[in-house]
Amino acid sequence: MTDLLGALGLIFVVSAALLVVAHRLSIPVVPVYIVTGLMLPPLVGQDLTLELAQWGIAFLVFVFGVNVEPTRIEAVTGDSEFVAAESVLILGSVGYGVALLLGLDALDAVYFSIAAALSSSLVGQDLIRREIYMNLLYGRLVRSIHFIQDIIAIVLILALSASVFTPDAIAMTLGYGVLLLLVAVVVRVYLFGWLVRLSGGSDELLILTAIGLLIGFIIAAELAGVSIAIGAFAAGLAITREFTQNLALLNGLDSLESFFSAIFFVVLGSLVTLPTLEILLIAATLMALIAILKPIVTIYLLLYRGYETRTACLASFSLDQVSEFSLIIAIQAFILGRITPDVFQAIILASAVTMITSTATKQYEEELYRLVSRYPTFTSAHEKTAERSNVDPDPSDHVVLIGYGKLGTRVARVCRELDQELVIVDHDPNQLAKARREHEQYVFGDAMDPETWRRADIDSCRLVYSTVPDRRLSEQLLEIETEADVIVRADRTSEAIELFEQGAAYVNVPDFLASERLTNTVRDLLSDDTTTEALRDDGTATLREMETDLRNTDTFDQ
Amino acid sequence: MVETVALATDFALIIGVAVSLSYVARLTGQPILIAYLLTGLLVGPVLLGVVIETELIDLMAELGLGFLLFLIGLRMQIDEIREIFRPILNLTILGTVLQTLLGLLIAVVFGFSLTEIIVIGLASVFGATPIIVKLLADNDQIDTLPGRIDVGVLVVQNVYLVLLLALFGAGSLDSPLGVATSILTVFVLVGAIGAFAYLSARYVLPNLIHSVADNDEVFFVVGIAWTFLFIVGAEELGLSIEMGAFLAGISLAQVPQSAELAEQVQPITDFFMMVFFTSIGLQLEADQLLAFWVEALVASGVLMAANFVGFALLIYREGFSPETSFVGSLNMVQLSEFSLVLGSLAVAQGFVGTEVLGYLSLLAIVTMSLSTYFINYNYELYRRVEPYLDRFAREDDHTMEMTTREDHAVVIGHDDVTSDVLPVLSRGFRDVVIIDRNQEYLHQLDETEYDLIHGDFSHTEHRNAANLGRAAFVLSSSVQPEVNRTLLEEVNDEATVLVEAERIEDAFDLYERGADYVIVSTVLAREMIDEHLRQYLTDHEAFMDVRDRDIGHMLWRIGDD
Repeated sequence: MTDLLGALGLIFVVSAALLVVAHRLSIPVVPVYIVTGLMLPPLVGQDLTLELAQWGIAFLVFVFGVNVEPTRIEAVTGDSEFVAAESVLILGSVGYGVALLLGLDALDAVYFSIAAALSSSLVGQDLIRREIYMNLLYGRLVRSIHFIQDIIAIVLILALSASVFTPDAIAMTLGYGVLLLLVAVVVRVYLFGWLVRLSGGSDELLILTAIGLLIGFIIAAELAGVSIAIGAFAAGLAITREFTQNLALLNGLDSLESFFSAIFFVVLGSLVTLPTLEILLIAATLMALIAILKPIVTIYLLLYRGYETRTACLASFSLDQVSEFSLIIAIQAFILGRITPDVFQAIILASAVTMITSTATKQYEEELYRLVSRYPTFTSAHEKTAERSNVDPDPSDHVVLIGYGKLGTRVARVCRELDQELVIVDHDPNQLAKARREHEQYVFGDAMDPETWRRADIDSCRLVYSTVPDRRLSEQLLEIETEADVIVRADRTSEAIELFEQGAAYVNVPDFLASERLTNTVRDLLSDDTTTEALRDDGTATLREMETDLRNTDTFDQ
Repeated sequence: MVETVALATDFALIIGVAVSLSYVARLTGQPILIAYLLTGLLVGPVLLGVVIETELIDLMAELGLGFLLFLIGLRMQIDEIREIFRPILNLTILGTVLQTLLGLLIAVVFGFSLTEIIVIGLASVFGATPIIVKLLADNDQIDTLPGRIDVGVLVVQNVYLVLLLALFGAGSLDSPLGVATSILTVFVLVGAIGAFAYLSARYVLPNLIHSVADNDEVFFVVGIAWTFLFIVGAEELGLSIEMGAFLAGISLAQVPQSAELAEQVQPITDFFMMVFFTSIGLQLEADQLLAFWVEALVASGVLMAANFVGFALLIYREGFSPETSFVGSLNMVQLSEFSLVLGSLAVAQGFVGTEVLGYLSLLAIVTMSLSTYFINYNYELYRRVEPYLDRFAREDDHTMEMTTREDHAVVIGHDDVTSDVLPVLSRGFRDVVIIDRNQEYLHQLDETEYDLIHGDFSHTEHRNAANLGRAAFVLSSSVQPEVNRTLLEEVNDEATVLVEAERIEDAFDLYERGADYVIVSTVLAREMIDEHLRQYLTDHEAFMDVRDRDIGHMLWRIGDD
């Protein structure tokens, strides 16, 4: 047995033990790995473990690249690309200034400011998995902000891998990087599909091919003198997700990524020695910037773009951590000897801590939001939302519809057809525009906010109809003291039953409703009451009808 | 400090060559394993000499073996071969004795030294799992009687080989006493670890795995860590790491999520095994590889023929038909991949020189590549000789009722959309197979009424287990377009296929790819919502009736818990 095997054993056994505990507390995996590294004694064969850690970087960036689908980048929500860029710019420059004040030299300050500016998509999206799954507005916001920041990170990695920091050298590095990406696109368009066909559907060969591409691009990156992370990203781009037998490939790459990235993060943690006072000071400053300044800046930016306070707050509480890309940038600087070890260690410490505090801010987001919304500077947006609403002075017997998406538009249509007075409530600026075009009465605001209810005159309405699958919102609506009936939405039947017990007039469970239709369809099919041809025609026809119906809406389902 | 360049150079060469040769192998119908062996020979000292074994390559090769054994343990499902377990056990024992004797005999004839004879004899086990399983699956023969016999024998043989590995790893082959002590120690230690594995499988693992099963990455890392725990433990006790990994696999095989874990571990195992088989080539110099090339060629011919005849007779002796005996034995005429594992371990332990590994490598390459053709044309070859074998046919040949699924219904993902459909399907089809990774849901189902496959549909193995290609009705409640596209690709043209989509574009795309119906739950739900709201606003009593009915229905569903 090589010593290395023992080291790996230690890495995985300790990580797993901590992960089992952390999993109960809903802490994402990345900080757990780093903490494992902090706890472990210096690992044997450090050179070799560092080499394995490089594989971790390669697979992390590679898988990110594979998942970037140029043809299918989802419509970036609203203005998130501006918010992402602005927050990087603001935090980056503040971070740079603060770092200089701390007495760091210019280069160290750059790495420090990058750590302050970028947020982690691995951690953040683990935290808001539920929101992304439910397709809630702030889940989408966080996801697209992360995506933009990751792309910015790739550009930074590229620029920082220049051999010397002169404009010429950086320009040349950027040029090589672009060249690599171009080669990747050529491989993607011409070569990869051919290889897939040639592999004849062998999963093993396909995964090996992907690894081969990865290694090939890494070599090319090294020859061109740019970071291997750029090579890995280009290799990821060279692989398209869009072919039918891709499942095994994507799963295989995920496994490899999990394996090597675990090693990477643990090794990273193990590079921290006993921290000195100076390291602690730098780390603490960095943490303060990320945990306090970053949420404030992000909240303001989102408010400025027209989002209401709650969405802005909840989105910001999932963005307050150090990015895994910042760690990649830092370790590469460390290997090249460009970053002072103290600053390097401070960044790792700060990343572990902020990734964990980020979990906490996410778990206590409602409490934090209430705290934040007490400050008038943040609530000033209320004025703005009032301006952006339009409700008759004294509506009565109306329906208050919360959420104006796929289901909501249908509810609105029924009301219109039956001449039922309707007030729409939504907090997505994009949906607001549509509501404004089509209906006279709407309220822009957070559905959980009593102020919104007052403006929609919820007291005098006959029905509150929520199409948002958010349990907290549903329960809050059911607690309102009103004569009105309340119809809410849930995504699971077990939750629906509880909501019925709490007094809901009805609970829409889309899957449940759909299943009723589906069961009838299958019964007809099996008893030969309908043919597959008829079913197919019927299905495409309904779908076309819906498409026309929804033309004005986004595909977002709220 | 590490130079970034170190990451790639050696590996880049190995992988580049391995990928290219693999495509060549693929196009010529040869197993990928041969491409890996040749890769090592090509870049190693034998031909180009541009890559030498480094510590990292050593590590990955070791990991490859460890994970391979872990996987074998993890997939130990005795259930699958229970119906023909007795004949299989006999076949394995007698077959292994036969193979070993033949190996010994030919080594004696060639005049090897005593230790070499023992190593060669023990390492001359026939039947390579990756080749047989892969080719039989490709030819749709896994479920035939010969296929089951072969796979069954391979499974049982693996247990023997793991013990053999432990023995090789443990001690000396110099004196009978040394061998005896080694065997004894190995058995005691294996017993100890085995007891630990059994106890943890019984009391710790089910809960542990259950608590992390909802997070892929945590689940995966816990599985890997479990392997490492046993690997390091076995190493500390002086056992082979393979033995530890195997026992780790066995202890995890009992949890319901084992198939899922196996699928997740498979890709890294494939990757490391590639390194392992390459590293065999790296260990050999040209003169070592070719030291016994004549012997290896002769041995290939003799062993293939003798093993074929001998093993066929053994199968026949168990009461199977001439056809089953012929095909079942023909599939097994290649050196086991374990022979190379044993060989390189024997070299590492200093029992034999590298020449013996060269001999075994040549034997492996020749028998594996030739046997590919035999397996691909196994039934055609039988037709040629059938007239001569007819007289061996007996009245009471074993003709097992094969439980192959056919014209069945497959449901992917059991959730709120599909749950009401299940009773309807179960009335309409003899077999209803449900694939789901969420065990909360599966618990609610009656195992006698449905076949449950626990795992993620995106893994090829689970799809094969459901025999998707022969299903008459397929219902997928997955909204991942990739899953449904794969599904549509793999079902046969006559099958009725209902799939689910979330986005309208995806739905149209799936129709184009041949779906008979695409369920878009929000679209269906919209229609129901429309209906309900109209009732609410115009006919309140009717609405209340619907409400009560639906609450009842939902309660009935929850009641299944």
